[in-house]
Amino acid sequence: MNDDGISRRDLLQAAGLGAGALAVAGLARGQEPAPPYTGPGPNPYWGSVGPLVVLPQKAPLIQLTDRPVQLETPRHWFLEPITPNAAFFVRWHLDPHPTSVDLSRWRLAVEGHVERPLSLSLEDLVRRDDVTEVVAVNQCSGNSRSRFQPRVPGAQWGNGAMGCARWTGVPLRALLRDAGVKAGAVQVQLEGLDRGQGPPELGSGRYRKALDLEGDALDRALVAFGMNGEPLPLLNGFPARVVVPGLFSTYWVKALAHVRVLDRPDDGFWMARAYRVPLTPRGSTTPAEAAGATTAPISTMPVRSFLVAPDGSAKLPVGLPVVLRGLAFSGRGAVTRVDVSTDGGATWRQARLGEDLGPYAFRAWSAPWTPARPGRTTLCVRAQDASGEVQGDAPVWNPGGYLWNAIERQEVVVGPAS
Amino acid sequence: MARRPEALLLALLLAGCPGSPPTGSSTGSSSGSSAPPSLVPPGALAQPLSRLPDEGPVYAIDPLPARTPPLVPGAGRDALVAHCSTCHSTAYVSLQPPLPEAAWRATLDKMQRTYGAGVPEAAAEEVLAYLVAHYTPETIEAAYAALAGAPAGGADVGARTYEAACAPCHQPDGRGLPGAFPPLVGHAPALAAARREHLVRLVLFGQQGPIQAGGQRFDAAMPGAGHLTDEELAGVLNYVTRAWGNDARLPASAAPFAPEEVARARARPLTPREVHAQRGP
Ligand code: HEC
Ligand code: HEC
Repeated sequence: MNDDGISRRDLLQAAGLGAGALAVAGLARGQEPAPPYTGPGPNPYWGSVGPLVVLPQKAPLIQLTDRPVQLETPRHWFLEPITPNAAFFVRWHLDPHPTSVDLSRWRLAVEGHVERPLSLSLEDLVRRDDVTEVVAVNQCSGNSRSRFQPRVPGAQWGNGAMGCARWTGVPLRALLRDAGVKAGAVQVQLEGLDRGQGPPELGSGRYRKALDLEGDALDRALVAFGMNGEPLPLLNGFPARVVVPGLFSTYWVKALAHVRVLDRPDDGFWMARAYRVPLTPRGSTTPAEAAGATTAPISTMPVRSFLVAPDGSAKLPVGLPVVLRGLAFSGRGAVTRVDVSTDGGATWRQARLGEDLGPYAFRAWSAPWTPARPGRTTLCVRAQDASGEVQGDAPVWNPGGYLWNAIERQEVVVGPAS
Repeated sequence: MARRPEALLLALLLAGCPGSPPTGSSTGSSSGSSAPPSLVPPGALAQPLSRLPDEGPVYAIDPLPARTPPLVPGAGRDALVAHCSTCHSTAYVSLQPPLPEAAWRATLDKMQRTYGAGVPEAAAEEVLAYLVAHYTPETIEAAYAALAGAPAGGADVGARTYEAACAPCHQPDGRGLPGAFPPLVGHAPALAAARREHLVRLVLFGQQGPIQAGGQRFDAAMPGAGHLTDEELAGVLNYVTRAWGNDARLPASAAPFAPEEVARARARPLTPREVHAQRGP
């Protein structure tokens, strides 16, 4: 502590905070840029560490990459179970991705192994009488990748590569029925307007993903043109994107242009080589065993829960009540129970669940807490879903940085009240 | 097959996209406010200018700004920028945690094999050596300390701004990338001589539309850099019109760009397409 009551630690923290704010100003302003990385240990922050940037139709979000654009949603937006469109994370794979769509020419092609190929305008979709809604979580396969030990290359997301919206659209099955799927069809391939630059024969320059025709994921899938009652932002896939409740974002193809029925499994790059996980419990393996592991395309989201507040940025006075708040979700059946611990996981008690927006939505939870003793303690949260799965403490590791769902922890400091 | 993908793609207009087809323009009124010279208020730094789009069927946002973090200085950095900026910006590199040599080697291998980055062997070795020298758990802290200590791109405001805001696309040597980003060597002084005001509008607001530069045709979108100050933008224009031997091509009568010129142009915001329309052929 120096004379004016400001400690070196405070100054360092202020500097750390300032780094994010300064980064907004861009890098040519003669300031010291904050390093854009964390590691080799796990990222100690809740989110990733890039600068906050403002792009069209978006609130300030954390930039991971500028071209193609990848933006993460900061923590406080998750106090509510619906993520506003402006705050929704952004993740494109290929540059260029669309910054402009001409609706007089945009058509959704339903094609391939079908009797009657369709070509639908946005108006055709909006005017259908089978338009429906679902509230569902969209989470990047690599959400929380920056927790991995050892660290793996890829976008170094913190926890904010997720969001939950009310999606409006047409059931994908209904479009397939209209087009008449021919006998022998096995998958439906989805492709958007983003375009990469590698040689075409590699297949990596077209972002194509496939869903099995059999199975309930496709039963739930929509071609969505509405997001929280509004058009999709361009960065989130205007004019229409795929929504597959329960599955990771990798299948939620944005700026959708093709729905292609296949008579053999998709062996393209983004199914056969990318987004694959080991067929082991929780998709976890070790660096030594990874190369020999049998893998399959990533699919449903395991149960997760997050503590949004308190976030540890300020001390809590002893004896004064606070409310622990956060969200939980699962792709494998609704969240049935959330437990919190205020002693680092030694004892647990049940949190109160908020409004039920549907089995694939964020479920808000809260738990009042009156800290009884000054000192440091660790808050923890874990959820259970209808499939019986409960979050555990064991870390996840695989070379792609996918499927992280360990129990979240937040250290807080309780101070004296007098 | 019902439709060729091209038919569906006509509408695409893409930031930094070489050869993307043009669509309807987004002309419109502008209501941006002028910033006081040399001090852009932080709130305005990252915000898109407010202006009304046209009433046609094209739904567009401005070209997305380039905000690529600086790479640490060292031998091989230029090779990395040249070979690793086409498919994605080098933010893909600088955002990674420090990785051991084997992981960097595997990543470079993956770029070549699965994504088709045609990096010549010698350049790939140079890039790997650079990454291993600066972006491993053992080396990264010293590398970033050097970055913080060194005035990026030298003491000159123009060079520094170029390095951070333009080099990711136009390359550290100003030669651009064929088919993607026009060369500034030769081209920048020619523009300064014939279209001085256009250069100022270009860096402030970006540009979208076909141009000829260095004997090649480009038809892409360049994002504006209006988040930089008047000094920085005047400095970067002085830099690109004089660096790499461009000074010899600049007419003797050409006065340096002044921050006041930037401030004046800033007061009249334009869309990237309007900048192109005012450029002339
Ligand atoms: C031909 C196109 C192309 C070129 C050239 C290219 N990359 Fe990539 N790179 C990609 C694609 C595509 C991705 C995946 C993008 C995504 O998923 O967001 C990628 C991802 C990455 C990643 C993230 C980690 C990962 O494995 O996905 C790193 C690091 C990277 N590239 C480094 C480099 C470096 C270094 C170079 C220069 C030697 C380079 N790239 C050149 C296409 C390319
Ligand atoms: C994201 C990539 C990118 C960045 C960053 C960028 N440019 Fe460009 N620049 C382009 C593209 C693409 C074009 C061609 C635009 C067109 O086709 O109209 C261009 C064109 C130009 C031209 C020629 C314009 C003409 O009308 O002939 C100049 C000069 C130029 N840029 C200077 C700069 C300067 C100075 C900076 C930094 C302040 C900068 N650029 C930053 C991509 C970029």
